Amino acid sequence: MRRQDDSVRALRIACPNFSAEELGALRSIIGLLKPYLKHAWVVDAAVMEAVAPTDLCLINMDHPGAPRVPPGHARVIGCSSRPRNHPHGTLHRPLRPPEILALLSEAGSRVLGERQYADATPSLEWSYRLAAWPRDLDEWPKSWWRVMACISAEALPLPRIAERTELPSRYVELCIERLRAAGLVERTPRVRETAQAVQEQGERRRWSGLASRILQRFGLGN
Amino acid sequence: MGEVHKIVFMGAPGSGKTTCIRALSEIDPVSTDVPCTDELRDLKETTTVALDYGELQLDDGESRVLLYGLPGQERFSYMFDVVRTGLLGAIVLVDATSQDAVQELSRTLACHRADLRRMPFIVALNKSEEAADAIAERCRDAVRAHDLMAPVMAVDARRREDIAHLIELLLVILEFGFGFDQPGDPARAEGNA
Repeated sequence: MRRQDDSVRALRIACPNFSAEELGALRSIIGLLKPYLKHAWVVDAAVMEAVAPTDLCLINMDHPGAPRVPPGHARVIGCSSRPRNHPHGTLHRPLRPPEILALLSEAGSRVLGERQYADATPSLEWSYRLAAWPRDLDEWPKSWWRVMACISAEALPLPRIAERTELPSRYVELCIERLRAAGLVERTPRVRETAQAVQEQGERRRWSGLASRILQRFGLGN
Repeated sequence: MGEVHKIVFMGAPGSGKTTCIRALSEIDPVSTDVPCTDELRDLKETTTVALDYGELQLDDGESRVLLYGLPGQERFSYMFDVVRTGLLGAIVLVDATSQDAVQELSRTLACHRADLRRMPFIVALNKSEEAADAIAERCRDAVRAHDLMAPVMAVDARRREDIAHLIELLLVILEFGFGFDQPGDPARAEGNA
């Protein structure tokens, strides 16, 4: 029974594109760091959302098949043998105990803090507003332009952003996570909308279709 | 009767408004360039005193997108009234080689701030081969200083694909940032002309 409680409490790291050797190394590092970590962590080779939500997702940026869509709610951290070639916050590969200790300590506190906040205020959710457009906008996926445009004029929660942009919610989460990592988005709590309220609001998208018609003139239409 | 939409190019003299219209228009652009007689003579031979005008015809054969280039000089700012109805958004051009590039941008933002808050716009940094990052950063600061929100992008106004790229971004901001009509929101409905 005790063992089951521990596994329920453990925070989960998804490493969808790491080699078995690296996963083994990470598990060893976490084992070594256990006395210094406030929270228990377990490593998933793949994304196992069906079993439990993932709290942290490590992406091997050197892998040609780096996944574009990480698990929902997970904080995404890139890892590379050349971290300076990637956005700020990318970890060095092979993974090193001091960096893992810092990452898991910070991420654990943050995840549990957010959980406690959510538990204490179940009717609230985060809404996001763009603070500034990225400097390297051309480097971001064009579909993420929608997300940025969506939150450039008003703060919106993730479900509403996903609905307006017609993008998968996990894809929106990844974009928001990247924006947050770059300090380009502001997050504020707001009262959670019920599904009924969203429906009753009856939003109607204007300009839908016009953009694609104009872009066709430039050979850019879908 | 087809729909008529408008996109406006704004900016200081020499920032590339006329070039953008020429790059995009499917008709011979109407231009009101005249020889410079003031201090602009040192910058270029002619300047636009009324407005540039071009058109894009949409696939239904009737709907059109009208392209306007407004003169940069502040004394002509009242001409924005001519193009406001049906306006989809604006591209504010900046001549990165100008010593006063950021000040000129600030003047344009200050002059049209109220309109720019109600529609999508992009700051397009033209002729920005050198020191583009530094100027782009100062342009971002200028946008923030006027409490506005817009991406800043480097372009070559002579390249049609660069301008098409700008239009693509502008339309994304229009559709997903300004495109949701909510009941009882007259301010939004007003923009749906």
